[in-house]
Amino acid sequence: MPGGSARATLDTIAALEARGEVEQIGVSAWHRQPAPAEWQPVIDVRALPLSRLALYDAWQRLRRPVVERATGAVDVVHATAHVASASKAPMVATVHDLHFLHEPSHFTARGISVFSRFLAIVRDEAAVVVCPSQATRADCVAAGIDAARVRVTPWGTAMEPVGETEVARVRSVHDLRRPFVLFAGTVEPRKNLARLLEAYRRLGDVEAELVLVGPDGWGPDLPDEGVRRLGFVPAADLHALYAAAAVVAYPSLREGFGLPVLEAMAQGAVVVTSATTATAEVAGVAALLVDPLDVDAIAGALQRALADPDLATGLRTAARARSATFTWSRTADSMAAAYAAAVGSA
Amino acid sequence: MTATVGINLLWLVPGEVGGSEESTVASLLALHALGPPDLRFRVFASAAFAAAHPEVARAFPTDRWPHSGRSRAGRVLGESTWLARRTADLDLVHHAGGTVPSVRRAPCVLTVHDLQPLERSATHGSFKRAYLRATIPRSVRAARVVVTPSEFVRRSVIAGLGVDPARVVSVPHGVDLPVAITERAELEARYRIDGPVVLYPAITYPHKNHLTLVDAFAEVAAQHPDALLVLPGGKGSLEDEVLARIQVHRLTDRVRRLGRIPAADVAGLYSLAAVVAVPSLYEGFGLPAVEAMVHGVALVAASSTALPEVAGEAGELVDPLDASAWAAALSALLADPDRRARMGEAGRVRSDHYRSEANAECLANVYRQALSRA
Repeated sequence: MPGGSARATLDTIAALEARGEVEQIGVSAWHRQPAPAEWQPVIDVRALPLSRLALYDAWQRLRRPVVERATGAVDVVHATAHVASASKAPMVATVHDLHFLHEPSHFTARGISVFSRFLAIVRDEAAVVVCPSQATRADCVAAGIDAARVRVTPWGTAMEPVGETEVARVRSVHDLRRPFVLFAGTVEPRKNLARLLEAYRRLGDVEAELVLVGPDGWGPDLPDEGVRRLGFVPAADLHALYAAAAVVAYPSLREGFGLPVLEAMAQGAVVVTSATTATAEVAGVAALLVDPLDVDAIAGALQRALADPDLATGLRTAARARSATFTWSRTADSMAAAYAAAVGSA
Repeated sequence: MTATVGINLLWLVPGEVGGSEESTVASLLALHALGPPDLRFRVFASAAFAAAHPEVARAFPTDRWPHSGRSRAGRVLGESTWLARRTADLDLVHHAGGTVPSVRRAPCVLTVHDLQPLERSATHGSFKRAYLRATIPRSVRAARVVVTPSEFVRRSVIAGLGVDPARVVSVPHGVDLPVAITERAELEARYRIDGPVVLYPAITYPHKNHLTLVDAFAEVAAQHPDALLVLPGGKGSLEDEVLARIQVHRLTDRVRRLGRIPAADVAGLYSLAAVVAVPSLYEGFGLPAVEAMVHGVALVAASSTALPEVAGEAGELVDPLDASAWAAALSALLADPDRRARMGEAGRVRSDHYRSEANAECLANVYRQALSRA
């Protein structure tokens, strides 16, 4: 299943389409079957006659076939994720994150080779590079991309606050009677769940239980003891769980943006998240920041969030207000400006 | 439960700290208007400040320090004696001037505006630099929460001073549209404004990088002979060199070096400018960039330090050391009024995030977080 960056790309395309001014055409590889409706962009998509892997290989090694073979002439080509589409037009490239440079052990050899090639092409060819956060921008500049070409276009959320009946419904469906600390996300080492579990254990005698939501990914098995695992839940349930939680904990080691933090904030959640990656930018002062490597610090923040009602109320209000400034229409404006800059540089 | 937060403004000498005076006062008034039920405030300021800003003294119980604050040594002493005695019983004190007094009893929040004294050497005198080099790291360690005006300074504080990243938060300054704006006709007459204006308000400190902009403007003027480069701002150590460079390029007729002028005139110049240029080599925040956005003016900013973050989609970024790139960017914008209008509008929208109300709400949360860290 595609993750946050795919969702963000589709939502940006939809917001750009609604905004007007930019005419968009999608280019894809040739697929035997169409993507599920939920993962189809709202724009016209033309296929090049190559399978996905063959196309990506040809684009990144040979810099062909050019997208114009499917689309006709374009003013800008936007490489939306990890693959540098070939074109005669100036390129805007999205770099969602450069995790592979920091934690190569979390990637396959093939993954590292594809990402490295993408980074090299972006460094040499992209007229404009867009990143979802200052953290990723700083990584790009450190990787040798000219700072004047790197812009930040934060993601957004269109999430409506859920009502009390919805909150009551998910509580009853999932049998959540006590206050709970929620983690939502794929179970993988980058999400730092092992330290969150240990921090929760160090809280000792608290009323709150720990609830994990999200599909299994990879990495060492986690102990189940004292933890409620709900597995995959539908989006509507997830939103209501954010609103129902006493605390949403997301102490991830590394994020290009951290969409779950923004979505939890949109539900007025008290969020505890990492101070050392892009989540700190998304959260601002509307969440409690922790060093994700420091188990005691995570425990301390959970404790404060659970025990200090003035703090929690202030954070809930601030989280709603801050998340409201992250709109997809703002992302679309920012992306349109990036396209204009790329055209201007040609 | 209500907590009492003291706000130390002894560092704020009216008329001498530049843009942070206006922005601090606006935030305080916004904090008063916000009126968080769980927080009470007490202001500690010089009598001169209270006289210059009676609206602040009306909004908050204000303890008046009977000195001007102009002497750094006097202020440092005042903070460790007069202020320390009066704030001993408070729940929290916010030191917004970059340093924490060495004698203090109450827990504190510290605002660090930038780390320039640690990172660059040309701007500050050697005594002041030595003082700050000794004081900033100690101050940062003493504070429960450190506030920075940008993610850029936040990262510098974390990386440069080895502070726990969880204790450092970024809260952008509040910047509102000024109330007093001088009329266009008046400015045109007073400053001989007779063409499209490229504006850069900054004191002529070396890091403000006027020379690159003047070099670039020589190329711009060749293509746009009616364009003007307008440079308000006080005299810094590079004043003579800037004037000499203007001479060398024979630009005395096209560059207006205005020196320090009234705030309402600067506001008026923003509103009539075609482009605001901010080529600075170091900004912890970049007030002129936000002011350009507030006034809806197209912005070209240096691609380094806090400027890319503050300019966002509303600004064009240029390598601060590449004069030809500045010339190309400015000439292209002067020739394209539609694009200028679009950038200006994007800036106006973006400047909403920098209003003083937003800053005040963030500060209230910083105080709550610091209080909960007991």
